Amino acid sequence: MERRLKAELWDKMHYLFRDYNDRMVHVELHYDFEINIDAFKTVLACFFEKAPVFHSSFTDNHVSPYWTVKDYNIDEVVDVKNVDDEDVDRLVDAFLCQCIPPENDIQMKALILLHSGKTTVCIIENHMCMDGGDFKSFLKVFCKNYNDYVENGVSPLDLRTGTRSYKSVYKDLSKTDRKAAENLYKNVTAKGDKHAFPLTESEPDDYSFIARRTIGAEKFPLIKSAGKKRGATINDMLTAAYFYSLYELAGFDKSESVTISCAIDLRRHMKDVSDTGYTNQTSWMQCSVPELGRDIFETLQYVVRSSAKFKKDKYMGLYGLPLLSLGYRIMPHAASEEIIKIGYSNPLIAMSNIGILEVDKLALEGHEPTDGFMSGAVKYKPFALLSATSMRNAITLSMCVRGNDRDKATVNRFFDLMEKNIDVLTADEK
Amino acid sequence: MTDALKYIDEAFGSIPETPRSYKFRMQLVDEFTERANELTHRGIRDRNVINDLIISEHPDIKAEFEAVLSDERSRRRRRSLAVINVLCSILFALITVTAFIVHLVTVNNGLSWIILIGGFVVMSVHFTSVLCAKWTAKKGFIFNSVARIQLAFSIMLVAALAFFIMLFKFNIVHSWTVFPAGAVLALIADALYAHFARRRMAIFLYLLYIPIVCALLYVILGAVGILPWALGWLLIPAGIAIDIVIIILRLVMNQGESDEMKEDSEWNAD
Repeated sequence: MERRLKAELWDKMHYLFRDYNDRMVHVELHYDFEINIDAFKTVLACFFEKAPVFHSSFTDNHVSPYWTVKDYNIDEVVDVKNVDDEDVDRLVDAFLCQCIPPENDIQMKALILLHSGKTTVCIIENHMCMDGGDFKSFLKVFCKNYNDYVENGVSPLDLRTGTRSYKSVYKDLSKTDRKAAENLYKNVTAKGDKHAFPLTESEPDDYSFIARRTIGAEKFPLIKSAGKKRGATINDMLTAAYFYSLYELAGFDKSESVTISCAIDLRRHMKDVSDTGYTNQTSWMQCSVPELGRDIFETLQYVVRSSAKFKKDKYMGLYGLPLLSLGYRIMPHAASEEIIKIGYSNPLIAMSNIGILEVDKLALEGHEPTDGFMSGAVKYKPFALLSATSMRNAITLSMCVRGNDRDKATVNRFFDLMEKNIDVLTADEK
Repeated sequence: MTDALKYIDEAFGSIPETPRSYKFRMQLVDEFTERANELTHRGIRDRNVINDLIISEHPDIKAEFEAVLSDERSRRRRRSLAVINVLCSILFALITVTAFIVHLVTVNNGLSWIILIGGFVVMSVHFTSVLCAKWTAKKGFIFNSVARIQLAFSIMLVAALAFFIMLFKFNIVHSWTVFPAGAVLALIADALYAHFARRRMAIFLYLLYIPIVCALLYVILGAVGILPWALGWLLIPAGIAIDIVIIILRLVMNQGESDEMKEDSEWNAD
């Protein structure tokens, strides 16, 4: 008998986002040794067994969508290739830019490239299954299980399982806060701001690409100390540089207000996630500047002020969840999707700070990754998302776009401006 | 697989040996074997991992067995309910035929009608109670409201039957008072339902129902002659007085709760 899993609120929401992005989350990690392929496959297969959503097919039922657990073979999930060094970048790009349809039997794919005694591991997964925050946690648990299995023969079963419901976000709130949070029926999407990343119009020839730029590790302490002096976090510093670069790149009027939606991890409201399954718990925080500011430091002050306003709110990111849930509960799925689309406005300009990729926790058989990054979904124009991750203090900025060569040039020019503006922000620290 | 089978043996050490437990054990062995084949097919080659994975999927076999037994019990309950429903339908058909025969033999319209309506009411009450329990089991205001309407409907049906019997069989003058009495019972039943179903804001129902019940009692007792009309009206202000007492008590209790909540939020503040 076929086994079905309930499609949770965020599964349905990310399915709704199919008009805005390809719903894939990407990771790329480089190791300076050849990993144990059999062990890798065994660990991943065990994780698939523990979390069946990864080998399930999504059915867009008009009344109530659901996942159907499917059979698979781990060789369909993990593709292993022995390649030459010069082919690595091309194969990685081709792999990361693919999209797994939600109707597919598996929702995660891995590519392992073995080249000159080194290994490159790339994994993509459907955002409907889990967000960047949980994907990062999944990778760390994966590496721990892999090491325990290879070194001590411990079966790789230590993957947390449990509910995937959005309601877990309320479980650690006090009784009164929970009551209040469950009644936050407020639409908080960034409606009104028409400013967009200066990409070209969509064309049939558009292709998916991931543009990335690494900001050297030597700059990380400078950004940190410069931010500290001005009461800003690293996220604030990057956001300020994002704003400043965007005004310059897109030629926005300096007196106009612009909003960037920053992804926030709702797990901040949870004290313990050990009894929850891998899922999405992400919302948006609208960071606005009223104008460009006379210099980047004034822009930074606007950013700090804007994010402080959100951080003060103890219900940060929880607005609108009850409204979405109500929308999906009271109507058949097909109708609720249409209604939610009217009320929901996908952010045109967004940023996701995925955070630190801890090399010690991503080490395999004692070998820490030499390089790597994570990024969000490939956005369809005019939407744009800047993802930021750091590894060994080197910050990788990435932008996944479905566009053309001109868009690629625009994104690279944007990264140039980001680098320039980060240099200006940290000039006093040198 | 040996480890997994040993695990089953160990787990069944604490389960009394019965034909049912033996059947469950055999099912489990089949399931474990099938699962091991499935995992091998999916690409896990390490036998230890397969064993550990299967065992981790059945952390408490005893609880699993109890769950199976409880599931079977509830399935049996459901089956017997279905049998009762079928029997009720047959009974209703028999009642209809009996009423028809009584009518033909005795030419007593009143008696045959009472048999017919009685049968219909008993059937309806049975079915509405089943539906009422089903709706109650579902969460949500709408389901609860439907269940409450069904409850009131059942009571009024019984009242209607009582009215027919009292009027046509015993020719009681004040038979009509059964209807306001039915309404009183329906309101009390609804209030009790709200209480036991832990309906939010049930207090407002009580406050609304008490004066209405008092007014209806005034009419019933006055009509039957138990309480003189001139004195009976005092039931209405008495109902309002009870309301006021309830409101005051509730306010005092709420004050206590809000103090507790304040302490709670202070405790959890950053």
